[in-house]
Amino acid sequence: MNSCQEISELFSDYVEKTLVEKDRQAMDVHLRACAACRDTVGRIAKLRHNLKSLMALEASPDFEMVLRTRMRLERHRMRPWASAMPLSPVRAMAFAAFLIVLISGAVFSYLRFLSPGSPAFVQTSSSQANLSAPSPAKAAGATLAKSYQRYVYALEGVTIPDAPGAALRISSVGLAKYQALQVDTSAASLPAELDPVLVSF
Amino acid sequence: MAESPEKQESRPTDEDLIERFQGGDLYAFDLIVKNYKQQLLNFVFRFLGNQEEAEDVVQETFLRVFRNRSAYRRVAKFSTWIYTIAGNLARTELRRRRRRRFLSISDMGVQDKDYEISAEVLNPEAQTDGALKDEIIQAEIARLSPKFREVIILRDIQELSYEEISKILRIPIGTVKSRVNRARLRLQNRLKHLLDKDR
Repeated sequence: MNSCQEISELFSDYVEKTLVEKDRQAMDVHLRACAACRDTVGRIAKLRHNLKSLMALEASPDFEMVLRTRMRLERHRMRPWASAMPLSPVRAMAFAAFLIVLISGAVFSYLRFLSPGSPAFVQTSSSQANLSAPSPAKAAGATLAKSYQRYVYALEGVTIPDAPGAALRISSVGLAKYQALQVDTSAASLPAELDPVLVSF
Repeated sequence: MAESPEKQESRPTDEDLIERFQGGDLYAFDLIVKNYKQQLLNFVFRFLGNQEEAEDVVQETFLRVFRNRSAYRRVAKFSTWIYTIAGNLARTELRRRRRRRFLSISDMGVQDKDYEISAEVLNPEAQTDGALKDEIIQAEIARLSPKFREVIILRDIQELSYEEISKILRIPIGTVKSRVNRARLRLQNRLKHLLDKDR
């Protein structure tokens, strides 16, 4: 007769009725003689029944809503433009209108830029540039802490000098414009009307 | 994620659904969620023993399917693929939980509180017999090591075939059978008091 240890390796096959005939007969013989193994096989059969009958867990009511939100974020992450503008006619038209407004604004800004006294930006090359212009920043006692900070001025291509009294540097792009306005390019300070108006980039 | 009547009639296979989803049909993905939400939730919940974590893992599973849909090939059953993803994520969650527990072990005292059965569970008046039995069984499943736990859940609760479990876990069928047998032997021994009452 097989030992209980050996026979126990076949318990699952026995309760699932997948043993070959020879092994099944050997098991039957063992179980008739061994109460402990018989009890174990009986408990395994009941265990399987109990496991199958375990109550199914219900998903939370907001499970799908949360999933949809996460999917939306995922889609946005994968294809931001496609996600923002699915091919629905209404949204496509809204997007087209938005583009028209955007392009019109850009054209308008460009035309304004071409006119005298138009706004443009200037950039500093100094880590501690001291604005000698009568600007709001200077009036507030502010100094520049980081290098290459940019400011929006009424002129394009003007570089703020490193120290008071140094000549303003003008990029080639902005030179013609600057000269057209007849501003003194060697002046250490900018005219009041050219005060910086934006300090964030 | 409502299902339209005409779609209900056609009853596409899971493999059809994922192929449709690969072709851009988002409704097919809704059907996949509908078909698998419950069974994956039960699988992961029985493995982790915590509903909130289980829901999070199942959602992440669907997101992985969504994100990596092009990785699925029809040579494999879709159920095998999605169960593999869910199982991997559940095991990762379990490891993460162990790390957290390890880091806060001084706060937990000597005993591992995850394995304690609450006073509420032990109070027969607090719950019905069925719910109490479920909780006791769940507590014993949780005491099994992960490699025994996952096979017994997949075999006896999810009722998957040995072949499919072997593919999901990427281990030989013989190993699956041996683990299932050992898991059953351990559980029947620990649940003797409960199972013997059923006579």
